[in-house]
Amino acid sequence: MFLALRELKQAKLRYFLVCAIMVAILFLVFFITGLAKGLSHADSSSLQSLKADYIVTNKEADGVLVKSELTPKEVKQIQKEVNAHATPIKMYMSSIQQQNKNDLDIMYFAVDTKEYGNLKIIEGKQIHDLKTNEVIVDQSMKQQGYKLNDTLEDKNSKKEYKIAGFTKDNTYSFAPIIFISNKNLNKPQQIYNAVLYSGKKVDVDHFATFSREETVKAMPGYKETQGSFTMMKVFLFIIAAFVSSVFFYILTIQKSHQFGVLKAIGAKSWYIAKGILIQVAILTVLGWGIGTLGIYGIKSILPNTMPFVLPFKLILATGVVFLSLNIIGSMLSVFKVIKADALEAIGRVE
Amino acid sequence: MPAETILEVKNISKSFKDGHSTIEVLKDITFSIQKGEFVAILGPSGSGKSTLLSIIGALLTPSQGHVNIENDTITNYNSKQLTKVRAQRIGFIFQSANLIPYLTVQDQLLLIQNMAKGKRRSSDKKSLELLENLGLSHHRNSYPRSLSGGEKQRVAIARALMNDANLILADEPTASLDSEKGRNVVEMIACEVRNRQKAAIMVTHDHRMIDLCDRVFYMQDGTLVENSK
Ligand SMILES: Nc1ncnc2c1ncn2[C@@H]1O[C@H](COP(=O)(O)OP(=O)(O)OP(=O)(O)O)[C@@H](O)[C@H]1O
Ligand SMILES: [Mg+2]
Repeated sequence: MFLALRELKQAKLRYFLVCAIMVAILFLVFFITGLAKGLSHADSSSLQSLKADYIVTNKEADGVLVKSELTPKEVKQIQKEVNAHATPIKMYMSSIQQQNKNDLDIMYFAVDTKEYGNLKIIEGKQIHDLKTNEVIVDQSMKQQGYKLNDTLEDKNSKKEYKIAGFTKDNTYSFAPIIFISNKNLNKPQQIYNAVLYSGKKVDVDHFATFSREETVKAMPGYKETQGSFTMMKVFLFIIAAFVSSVFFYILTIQKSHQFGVLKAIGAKSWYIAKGILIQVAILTVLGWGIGTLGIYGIKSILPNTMPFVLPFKLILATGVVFLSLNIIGSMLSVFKVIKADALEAIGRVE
Repeated sequence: MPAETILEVKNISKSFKDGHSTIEVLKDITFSIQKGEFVAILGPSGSGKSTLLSIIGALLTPSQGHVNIENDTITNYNSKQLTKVRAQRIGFIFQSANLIPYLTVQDQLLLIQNMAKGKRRSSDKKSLELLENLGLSHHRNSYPRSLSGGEKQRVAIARALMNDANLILADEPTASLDSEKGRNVVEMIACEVRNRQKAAIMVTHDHRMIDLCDRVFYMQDGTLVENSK
């Protein structure tokens, strides 16, 4: 501590530069993390928010819910087999007629409103209280100017619905979800997409059972998008750890004579190494702090429509990973310190 | 009052492996130093002076023989124990001052206390007193880069005294100074050794310094002979 802090203070510029690199890289990591999470949210939050532990579809759909088709007979059969409270869902894309604007693409989730679980309501009615012509919509429609009790006109069916409530975390492929009563669907040979239930996983013969996460990953393009972001993050981490390790390693090599002197006057290797580790930790935490402030600053000026989700937990986790990598990288320097020779101090000019 | 032996060197030999042959740098060296004595070691380049000082200073282990510091034989100590010996029982002064560039003059001294984990209140007072003695008070908050060569070497002396070790080792402390400043530095070492009743060994090339020392040894081809003054 004694050496670490005094050296930081004396060689401000040098350490400021490496800290600046860390800030830049962390900022990029945060940005990519936020974007990845935001895109994932816009893409699939409705599936993650489904009120079910498991989702049963037909075999051919491979977990892609919108591709699955179940006849009423099949729905009944599944409901019987899973031996739990199970309710069917119909998902279909459509669009809403808008005045002086392009149509708004949306996705209907048609469910039995009496049977379906409680939604995260931020305004208006809960799903159990819906009348047939009422709907609950995702809050992202507020950005399009919709308010409670507004009327929506479906472009295809020309039916009109009243917004009775707003929910959150319900988008699919960037489209807001509209929860609607399945009484609006054409009976009696209604095709459903899936049957939802909570409880233990049951493998139903001739059908396929998935967890929510599995249906999210099965979404077309989802794994590829998230995979690319993960790869970028991993590389940024490696670059950052590399830069800081090399920086401290070079400094350590430059100072090996000085470390020899310190050892000659009685410093333990650990005493010197501790100083380096403290410096790495201080710079990393400082870089992390500045990067965090920066990302929150940027977040506050990003438009609302930009998919960007960055919970503090994730920032914290990023910081922990980053710090660990840097500490591991600085072991290279620690090793060099251990090898520094006290004999260098004697009988030799600097 | 009988004189107290600080350092005892018994039959020290040291040889280095150089490829296939071994060269014997030190040959059967024996001597001892009492409290309050300031000893000079002179000798031609390559005669083994620094090697001897490194062995006494717990930086090197001898091939044969023993080193006793204040009646403890350090020859069989492991590296951890040797580090402790250097930290607590020996004060080093090097050829170039070897100060830490980013520490102020006073911090150079406080570092010694910090390394010893002793956050003793007295260390502030002690460092100030040492700086006062060596005429460095006004440079207390200066960095080494702004000091002259002689001033740096005086800081190094203060640093060597900071751990209150009874044995001071100096390897050509005046080599990088002109003769007037060099003499001044040696006078200061001599003065501290007498006032604080320490034992000190100084390796030097400069014959003009020997009048400041109590005893003079000559090193020749790995053997040490005392010159009666
Ligand atoms: N690690 C080593 N390996 C091999 N030979 C060594 C080693 N260290 C010292 N020597 C040899 O030991 C001899 C004595 O070296 P030393 O540094 O003790 O001389 P010195 O008397 O201090 O000389 P100078 O006055 O030039 O400082 C030299 O010939 C040197 O080459
Ligand atoms: Mg020498």
